[in-house]
Amino acid sequence: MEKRVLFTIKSPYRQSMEVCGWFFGNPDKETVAVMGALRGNEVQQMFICSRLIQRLKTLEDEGKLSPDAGILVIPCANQFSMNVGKRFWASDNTDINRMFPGYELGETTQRIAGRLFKCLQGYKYGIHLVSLYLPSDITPHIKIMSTGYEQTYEADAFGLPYVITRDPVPFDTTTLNYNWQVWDTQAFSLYTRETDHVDIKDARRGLFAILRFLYAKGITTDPVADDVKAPVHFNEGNMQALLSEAGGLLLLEAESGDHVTAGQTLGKIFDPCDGSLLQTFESPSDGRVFFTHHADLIDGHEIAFRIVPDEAVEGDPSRPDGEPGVRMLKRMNDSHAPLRKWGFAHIDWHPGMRILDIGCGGGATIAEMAALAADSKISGIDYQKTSVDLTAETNRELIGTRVDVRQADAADIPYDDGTFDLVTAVETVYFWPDLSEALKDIMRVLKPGGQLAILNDASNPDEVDWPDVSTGLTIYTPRELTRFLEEAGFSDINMDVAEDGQMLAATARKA
Amino acid sequence: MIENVVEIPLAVNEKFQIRKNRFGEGGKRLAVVTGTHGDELEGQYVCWKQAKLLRENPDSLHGTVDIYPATNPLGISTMTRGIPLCDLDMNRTFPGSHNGSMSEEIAAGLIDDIKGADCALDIHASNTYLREIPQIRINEISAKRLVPLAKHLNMNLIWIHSAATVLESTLAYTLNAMDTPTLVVEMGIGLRLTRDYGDQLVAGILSLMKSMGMWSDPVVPVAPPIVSTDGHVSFVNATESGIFIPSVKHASHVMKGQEVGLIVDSLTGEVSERLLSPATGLLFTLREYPVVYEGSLIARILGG
Repeated sequence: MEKRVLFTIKSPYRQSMEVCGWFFGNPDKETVAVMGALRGNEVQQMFICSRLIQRLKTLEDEGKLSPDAGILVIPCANQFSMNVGKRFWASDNTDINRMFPGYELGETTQRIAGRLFKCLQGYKYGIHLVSLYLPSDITPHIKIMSTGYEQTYEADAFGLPYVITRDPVPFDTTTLNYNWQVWDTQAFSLYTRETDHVDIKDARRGLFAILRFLYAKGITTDPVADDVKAPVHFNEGNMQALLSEAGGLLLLEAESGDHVTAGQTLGKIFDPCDGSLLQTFESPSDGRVFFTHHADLIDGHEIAFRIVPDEAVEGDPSRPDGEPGVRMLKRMNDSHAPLRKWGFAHIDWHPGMRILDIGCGGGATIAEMAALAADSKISGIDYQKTSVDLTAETNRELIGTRVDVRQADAADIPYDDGTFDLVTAVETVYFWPDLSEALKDIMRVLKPGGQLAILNDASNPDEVDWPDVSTGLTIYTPRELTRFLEEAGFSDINMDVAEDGQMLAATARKA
Repeated sequence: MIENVVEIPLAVNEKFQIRKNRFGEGGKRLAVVTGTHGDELEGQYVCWKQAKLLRENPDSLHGTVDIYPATNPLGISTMTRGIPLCDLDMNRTFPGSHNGSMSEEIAAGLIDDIKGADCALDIHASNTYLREIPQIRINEISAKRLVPLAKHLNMNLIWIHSAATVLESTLAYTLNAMDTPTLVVEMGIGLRLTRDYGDQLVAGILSLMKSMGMWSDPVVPVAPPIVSTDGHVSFVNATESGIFIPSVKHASHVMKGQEVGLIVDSLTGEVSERLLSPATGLLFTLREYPVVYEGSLIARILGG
């Protein structure tokens, strides 16, 4: 790690403002640049960067950074405004994030933007932690300007609930995100729920999103559990905005992240003086609340709520279907790689195994197991035809010889008793309608001494803030899974939870 | 006749209103608009003078004049440049939207009311830092259409500047794109009224109205303005920070290399920087607010 003063800005009556950057990894490589606070109230954004710096320092000391990657983190480029409680540049109220690419001979914030951009330009990936100007509660997400240069599916690697594209309007052309893209950097704006204050849980989510991205891109070798089942992609223009007709006090009955049904009351505006009801907001459709105005004073014609309608959702991970489903399964093939890598170490592999993978999804689990267990024969089942087809495609060279796939239910496995040495269930038990019944049938098809391995990205529902993108998603704790396995008659039950407190490898045997 | 152009309820027992005063009816329409930036007040004097003239001489008007003194009334009343609460620069919100937030609704409502006019004037007054001579600023893509109109306005300078994408969010750009010829006036300084400039512009507005067939009374002849492009404008920016003390007067003629001013250190008594003019010509912009940072604009010179 190296801390450097990137540039200074002189000021009257105050010390010169030093903008500092922290460098990690290979100094000759420009792989990822992370920009924190450009505005004086972006305290949360700066805090996330500080935590990122600590984490990267640890990873670097442990040899877990790729030798081919270089990382730059700039936590704050506007402490002048932060230290006097102003959002924009304190002397002239201009916004640095409206001055890019900047201009060295221009006015003060143009120079700041220009010097910053000189440091940030040229990186392969750029991550900007930003805030909204509206007083609001939002669901954490990635936003990308639609410039024609964007590759939105790269953003899936952050594992946040939403990836949103925005059609830029003229004033967007002077933002960091836009200019990064124009100058060949894949740019991602990361929005967290909080801005003006530190929120530890929200910050952790933002931090893990960045670490997840770094791992997915091979920049670190430290696996991070998936946060969401599948990010939802949509254009900002497809959100439904509910506008206030009256001015008054807004009280909320739904929060950002809630799933709501058509007609459900989201909130109400009351007269702030006499308390009379002025307006009731109802959801126009089934969907998820993406944005709420703060429960506070609200003027007329303000955006009180923004809803992502379910019909705009690209994929329900419990029922991947059609082209969106295929996209989601392919993404999961990649995003579950850390879990498989860590979890497979808990399995007793040997040549010639007979293996069943339940909920085979996109087929990557079968592909990797075929490599781990030489001469093994692997069957895959899934209740969705989309998954069956994609698994067959992913393993097309082994279909008919070492691999077969069929559509079937976990509680009604179409194989004879005592067929398998190993049954695997990777990131799938959350969706099984009846876990007890499924475990009994797994017990039936296992050989005596055969092993069951359940690998999950999440095992602590209190710490995971997954949006309920589908109905019937259940996150099991290690204790709960142990109980289910005992009731199904399994022995030699082991629960191993990874350092992040979420990734779980649950193994058990048939006596 | 005074009308509400935009009206939106605020949170507590108040309505946000943009109001205009309409004089005359039928015929050609001129819109006089100001107050988008709450710290720019020069247009208030112009609107008052113009409205007084029109009120006192109704028979001289042939056509319609709409006067909008305060497109950002919350800003003007609170000495805030942007829209208070969200701190947005209103002149970066156009064309707005009827399906967006309050600031977008305001912008859309204003556009709906002004568009279609035969000519519109958007009167600005620099900011609180810099004094400007009376000038019209025209985007080069509209120059052919607008320069002939601008020459009537009795301004000292017409500055034709290059197009920049960010300016596409302005009131003037949006109206021009909708085929409503709109001229941007810059003059004076923020938070003050410069009566001479105001009187100069009012005379120009009458001259413009005369040329459009909207005013039947005699008008004073206007002096032809200097017409210039970006290539003829030089900038002086501070390299040091401190207190700026000018050595020249605003609107004076300067020689290349002449001292424009000093940046001094009030703690040490030293001169941190001596600022020299990069060109010979008219110093049409000069900093009045003394506290400067590295990069602060000090002056603009028309010459070269």
